[in-house]
Amino acid sequence: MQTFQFQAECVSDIARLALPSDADWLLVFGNRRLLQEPALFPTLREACPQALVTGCSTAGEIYGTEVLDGHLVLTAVRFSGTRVRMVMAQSDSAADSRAVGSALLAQLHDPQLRHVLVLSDGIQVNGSELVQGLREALPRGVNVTGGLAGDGADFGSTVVIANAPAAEGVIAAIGFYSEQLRVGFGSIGGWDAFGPERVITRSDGNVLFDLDGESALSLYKTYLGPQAEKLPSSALLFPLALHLPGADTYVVRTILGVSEEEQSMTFAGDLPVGARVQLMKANFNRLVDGAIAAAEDNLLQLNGRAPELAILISCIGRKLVLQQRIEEETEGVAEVLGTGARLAGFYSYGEIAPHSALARCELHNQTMTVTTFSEA
Amino acid sequence: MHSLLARQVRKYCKDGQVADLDGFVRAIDDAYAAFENDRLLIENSLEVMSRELGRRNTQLADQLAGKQQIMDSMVESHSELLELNRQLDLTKSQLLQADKMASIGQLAAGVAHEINNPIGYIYSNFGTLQSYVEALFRMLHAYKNAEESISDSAVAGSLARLRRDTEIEFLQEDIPLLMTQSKDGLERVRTIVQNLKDFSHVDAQQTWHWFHLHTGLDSTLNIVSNEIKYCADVVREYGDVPDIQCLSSQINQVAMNLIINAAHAIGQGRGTITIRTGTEGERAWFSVTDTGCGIAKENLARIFDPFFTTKPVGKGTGLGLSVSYGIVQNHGGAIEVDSEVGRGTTFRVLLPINQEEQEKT
Repeated sequence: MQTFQFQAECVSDIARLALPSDADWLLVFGNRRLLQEPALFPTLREACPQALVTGCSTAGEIYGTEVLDGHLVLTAVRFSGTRVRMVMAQSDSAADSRAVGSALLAQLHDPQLRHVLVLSDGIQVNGSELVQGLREALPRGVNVTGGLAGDGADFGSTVVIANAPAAEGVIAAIGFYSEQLRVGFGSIGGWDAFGPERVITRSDGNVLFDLDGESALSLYKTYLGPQAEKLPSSALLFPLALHLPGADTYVVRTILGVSEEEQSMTFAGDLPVGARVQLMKANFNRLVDGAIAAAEDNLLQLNGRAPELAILISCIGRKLVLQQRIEEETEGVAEVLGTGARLAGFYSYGEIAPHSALARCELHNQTMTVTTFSEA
Repeated sequence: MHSLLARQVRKYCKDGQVADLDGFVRAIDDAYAAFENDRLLIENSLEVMSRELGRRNTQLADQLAGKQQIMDSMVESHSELLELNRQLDLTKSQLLQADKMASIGQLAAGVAHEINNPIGYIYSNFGTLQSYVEALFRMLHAYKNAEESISDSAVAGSLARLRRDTEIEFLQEDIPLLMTQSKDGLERVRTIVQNLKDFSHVDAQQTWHWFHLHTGLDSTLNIVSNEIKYCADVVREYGDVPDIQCLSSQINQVAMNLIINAAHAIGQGRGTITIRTGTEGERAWFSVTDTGCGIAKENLARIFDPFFTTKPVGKGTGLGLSVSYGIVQNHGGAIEVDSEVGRGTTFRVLLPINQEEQEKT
């Protein structure tokens, strides 16, 4: 496997980059407005005519250990013995996310399928429904990782490139087929639950209205104090730990938007009535340690093989907390994975990964999700 | 150096010189602002959380107090249920005993009625018979005096022989004696029958009626005399007691239970059973005192419990005192007990003289 990585501040810069024309896969992460420029896709197609071009808009691009904003980061991959195939779907409403997920994955089935990477619209798609659908159609021994596209801290709209010009509402699933490819993954948060436990008393899918019979939005505003002005992005400082009935662990749910009119909050996953939630807050050191632990989980699964490509999908909430120190988490991951690993990825509105190698995949928020590939 | 400052220096300085002063200052300023915001956020969160937790703590304390109240009322209900259960047991045994006593009473009344009629005409005939016998004796005496006037010596000799053989003189002495003894016997049978009727009171209606305690105590003593005459002397120390309004057959039953218990308490040796009566305010009372074994302190609290007995198997049912207790309670009265082991026991039964007055109070 050979990897090549470039960054560009505008589409016209791309022509000057030495993108390998025989690349099998071209990963594009970048600012939404840059991605939506009409010239982008033809330029990429021209540079890498055979490559499968996939990518999405972000809330921050990962370029090695650097975290960029408002850039395009291009990662070209030449596999030595792995075939990549992509299927895509257009999701018209959040309601059909589950069926779309299930149908997409079914199209990728093949005995040689090793892993699936999913890049999905981050606003129009119900992430937890999508993951349930993906999980239903997942063959034994294959797992799925990925993330929901971002839009800076604006939560306006997101786009996905699925071997075609960037578009909203798109879900792309990339299948990796190989005898020799090894894939590792890990996803760890590092947030601490605090304060009293509350019960969801009114919600509709991923739209939350009341906790313990009182407005959830008012509660957030009380806790945020002056920072309530920066809603919805400031709500990322307090994600929710969601304890689903019958589950041993909790999943983290982060906010996507608020409606003052309806006094509601939209989250990146479902919040069923009756489930218990608890506010969470960042613990600076644990965020960085979490990213490192996610990378360490990868190494265990690679069975001594050195990772060659690492796709880091980290939550925008972490970026909001770590701010200028955000690169401590990418540096931490790089240190664990070694110099042979090329780091690419983005800051997302939701991460898709299993908790561990043996667990089923879930939709996460506020985590660092690392997926590593090795052909060596 | 702080790791963030080190990062900023690395980013904005080269070769010991600041390469981008504006960028460097902005980065440092942003960091200060971020730290300040974080501090404010944490302070505010802590304050809000403390308020919330305080409120929840109060709610929890209220819930706990509510639960405690429920617990208390449950404990109360439980003891009420236990008491109700005890009363049910008591009522059940009283009903059992009352049923038994009613059967015995009916039997006694039936027997008394059947015996009463023949005894009546036997007693009546007996008076006539006595006057007839006296007349016959007078006639015999006249015949005897007339014997000497019989001229036929054969007839006179035969009559004298017959008189000797029939021992007419002895008959004349013995018949009045037999008649007197028989009459005594008849009198006793009449008294027993009357006592049985009095005791059972089956003929009386089961509603409050006026009754004299002494009548009840006397008839009860007569009925149980067989039970006590071999072990105790009965002393009656009756006071001046008015008639009381009661269910007399039940009061008799109480008296009988207490007297029989007194006799059993005396056991092998011979003792004394003293029956006293008197009044105390609006209540009349009677007491039964024995010189028996007394009741052990640990048993005193249980003597009115149904089926509690210290008597040998077959001798006591353990129902006598509990039934008596129930009867006295129904009358609005009280039973007092005073006992000393080895000295004896006194049971005193206090009963309202007037039930209507009692109900008013």
